[in-house]
Amino acid sequence: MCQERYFTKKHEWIQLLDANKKSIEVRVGISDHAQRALGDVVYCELPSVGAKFKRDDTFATLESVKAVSDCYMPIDGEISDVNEKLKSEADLINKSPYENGWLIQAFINDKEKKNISSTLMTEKQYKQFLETNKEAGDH
Amino acid sequence: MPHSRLVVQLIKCKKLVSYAYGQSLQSHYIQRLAIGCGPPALLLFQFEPVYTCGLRRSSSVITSTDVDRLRSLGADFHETDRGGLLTFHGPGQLVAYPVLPLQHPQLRLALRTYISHLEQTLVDTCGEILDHTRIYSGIDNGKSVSYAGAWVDNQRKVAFMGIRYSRGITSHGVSVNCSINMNWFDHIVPCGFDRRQITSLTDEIPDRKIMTVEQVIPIFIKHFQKIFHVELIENDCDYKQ
Repeated sequence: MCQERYFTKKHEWIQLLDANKKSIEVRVGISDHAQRALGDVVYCELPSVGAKFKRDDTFATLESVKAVSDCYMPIDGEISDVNEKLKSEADLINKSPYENGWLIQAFINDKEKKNISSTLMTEKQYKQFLETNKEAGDH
Repeated sequence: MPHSRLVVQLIKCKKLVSYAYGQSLQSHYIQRLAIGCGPPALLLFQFEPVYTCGLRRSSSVITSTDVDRLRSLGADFHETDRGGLLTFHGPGQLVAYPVLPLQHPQLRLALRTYISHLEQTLVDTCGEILDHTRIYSGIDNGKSVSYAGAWVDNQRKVAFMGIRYSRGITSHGVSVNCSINMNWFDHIVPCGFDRRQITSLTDEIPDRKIMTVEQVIPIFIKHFQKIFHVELIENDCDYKQ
């Protein structure tokens, strides 16, 4: 079932999916903090299934009010699925950033799976990170 | 506690430049800022006639037939990676690109706060020129994103916005119709709006006085500095393509 989420400093989250298949699959999205900071998302450009990315590569772009910004891969992976619903309902990202507004799914290897817990933040650590890094607009 | 002001280099291109030159200049500043050997900057231009589209460029926004048609009018055409839809840039229109590191300790702005400050700069600038009571901000008024910018009498858009934010640095920006030939807008659906909903400062001034880009620049700079709490230091446009 649902494994815990890990977070990056750039406000993406990553979650291991059901691990009963041969390959290790993760789901990636942006955090609630990120969707609030962006404003209403109107358009989402997602990668193709099969595209390979390294950690920190731009894998998607989001357009919110008049601004286009990037989403960065939390770890190395190969895209296995993208959230097709976002094509017609990009604002799912705002309404449900952790559930229906997920961005992509990717296959990762064992080494990367270990990297998740050793290099990324738990939800609790991410909350603390947000506290100590308040942006001017948040006050 | 207010932080000390970030110093931002102000670059005013004195003559008309091509859109391609503007993008090269912008990339130059972005790259130097990203690797830490250059300052944040505010670039001010007037472009040779050019139509541009943003990230959303499906055939419902623009087709290759449209592009050919626009080029035949004597304008250039460019695809960009900014937000927003189709627009036109040309002589008589002020274009401003703030190249700012939003996560810098002296700024610390969320993207949506940056957008809001930028819109406020447009509203205050146009308000000082026309009359504050006539100028409305787009984001507060409309739920659709195309509304972002400054609106006269809440009916006609006079200033526009289309931003890109990548790796912590902003690019692209805003444009203000000062004394631009408005006929150029007849050939597109600007920002997704009816042509009658687009205007210029000159067209809105009662006694037909012309408001030039050169006259608008000092007012824009003043409001930008105040709203963003930065210090603009002018430098020559010395970049050679």
